[in-house]
Amino acid sequence: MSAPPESSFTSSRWNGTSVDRRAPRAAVALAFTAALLLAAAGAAAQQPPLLETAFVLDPASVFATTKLTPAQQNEVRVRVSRWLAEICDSHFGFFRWQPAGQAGAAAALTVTLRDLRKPSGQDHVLELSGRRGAVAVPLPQLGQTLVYHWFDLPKPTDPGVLGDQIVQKLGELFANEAFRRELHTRFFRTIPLAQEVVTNDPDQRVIVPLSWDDLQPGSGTVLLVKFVSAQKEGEMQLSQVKKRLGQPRSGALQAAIKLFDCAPITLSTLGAWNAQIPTLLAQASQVRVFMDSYVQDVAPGVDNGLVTSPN
Amino acid sequence: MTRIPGSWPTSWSGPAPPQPPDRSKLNVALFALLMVGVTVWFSLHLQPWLGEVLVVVGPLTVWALWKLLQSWLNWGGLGSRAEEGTRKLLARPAATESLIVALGAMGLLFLTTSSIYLVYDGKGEEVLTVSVLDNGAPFLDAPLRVTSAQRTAGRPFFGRFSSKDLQFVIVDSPLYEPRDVRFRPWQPLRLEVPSGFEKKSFHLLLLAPGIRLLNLLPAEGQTQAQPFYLRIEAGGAQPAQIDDLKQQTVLTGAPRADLDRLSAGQPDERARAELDRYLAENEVPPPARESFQNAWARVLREPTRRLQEGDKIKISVGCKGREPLYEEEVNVGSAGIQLHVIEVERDEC
Repeated sequence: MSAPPESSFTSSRWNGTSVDRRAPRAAVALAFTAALLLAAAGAAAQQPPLLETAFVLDPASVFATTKLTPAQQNEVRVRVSRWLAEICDSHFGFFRWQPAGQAGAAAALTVTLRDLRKPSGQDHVLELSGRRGAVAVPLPQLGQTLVYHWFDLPKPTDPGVLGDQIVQKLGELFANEAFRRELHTRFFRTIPLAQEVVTNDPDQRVIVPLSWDDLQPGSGTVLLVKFVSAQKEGEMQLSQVKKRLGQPRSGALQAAIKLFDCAPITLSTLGAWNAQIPTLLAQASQVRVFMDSYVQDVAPGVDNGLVTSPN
Repeated sequence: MTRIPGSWPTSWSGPAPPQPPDRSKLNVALFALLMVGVTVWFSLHLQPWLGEVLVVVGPLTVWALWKLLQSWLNWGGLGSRAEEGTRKLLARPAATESLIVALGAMGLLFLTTSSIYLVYDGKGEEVLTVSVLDNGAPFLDAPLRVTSAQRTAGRPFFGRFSSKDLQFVIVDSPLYEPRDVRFRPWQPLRLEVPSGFEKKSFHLLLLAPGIRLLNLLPAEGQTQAQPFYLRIEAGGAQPAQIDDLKQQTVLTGAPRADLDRLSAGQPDERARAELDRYLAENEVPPPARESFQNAWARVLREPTRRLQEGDKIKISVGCKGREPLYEEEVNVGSAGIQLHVIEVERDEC
């Protein structure tokens, strides 16, 4: 069996335009393949989306109205936002993270400090919320994290002390795996990592054009791909995510299909393949790749004793 | 030299000359009255001034004066026997007029002699200094000072013809009220110190920020973006204001010296117990109560005029330049320390 030709790669990209499906199939395939070859050969693996972290002091909070000056509030904002970006990067490294204030973020995770009025005082709690594009994503399921009880005295007037306390509480929160799982499920899992997949027919693998080095996913990582093809909604789960070593798309993610569902094709076995999948995906629009389950590669470059990244 | 013959009668054979009336009894009575009057006057106005030694010999004064008078009469050549000379002197009609004049002089002396004497009746070794003020100005050259060793202080006044309203103030003890006395020209004024002075009663207010307000205030030593003020309007006096209220209580209701003295001892256990109950009623968990008690244990003394029962005191709390967060009129109750918890409804100014 000869090696699979490089030209057998097909790509699916959601570019907002539809393909003219009335053209003769052979001609279209030839032109398309040629174009893809050119594109794929030169295409480097993409970076994951950029997310920003923000910390907000509710304007009605005692800390905003009474305790801290605007400059001190900003000091707390900057400190917590930076810390939040770091902790998110360490736990959710499949996105790029930056503190709020810079342009270009596809989504945002915001922590808000607000007061909860009680009969004798006010509790001070942290609430998480998200933004995907311009759409606000409330996250009430994540609950509230208590920073100060209404009966805790004294409340700090030093931005450093308040920042430390908030960071400590958030640290405890992010150290909780159940919380991280919930945050991932409710929010991060809904943010597309990529809007394109490429099939590698000979290897019966799907390539996601994201830099493996940026994401460093372990083999237990599961990607969810949703697409619309032939006016049918389809989705597939990809597992056994590895770094692609060969050309083209060297350094990108390469994974096996774990589940596939797009009528009439349904696959539920890891590594299963159907010859129609490349065509389906090649014709697909609105492709979105989500991180269904992320396991960071514990020892980058070594995978079950096999060197996968010689460099 | 011509000699007239015959002999002159050797005795008056005409009618007997009229005998002057015997006023000796009247004069003795007048004299006794004069002596008693002099003694009383002396003991009222001079005796304390001359010292306590004279107190011992005081009862003998009448006898001493009597003997003095007798010796003077003897010196006047009326015989060596004093009793006989005195009797003859008092029997003379002219003595009555003299005694009446003397009695008149004594009466005048009574009417124009006054005295102020303070008598120490305290316990221990304390020194009490009393200022005597006439319309706020000193009435005496120097304040009067009494101690357990020098128990009497004061002096007589002669030739006063009008009454004065004096105020006696124990200047070195804030425990006593000043005492107002009308001092008449004939009055022997005696004041027992300190029992003659009414003890002062104080009606203090201990203003304690409630839980919600405490959360808004900075701790001791901290500053925050929005400071809070506490204003105390005691009616008729300049309002007292704390511009940077901290997590503390405020004791008010008396001048500075009184506040310092009254709050220098142990903390008020009754107020502490009341605040404990307040924390329990508001369901503050026991481990958290200590921080509240610690905050309340810091007492800031804010002097005002001395409050009286029934006074209405206006308390307001807020941020500078904004509507007050809290305004309430407090009725001052009976003597002692009255706790008032400042409960705010809002969390911001």
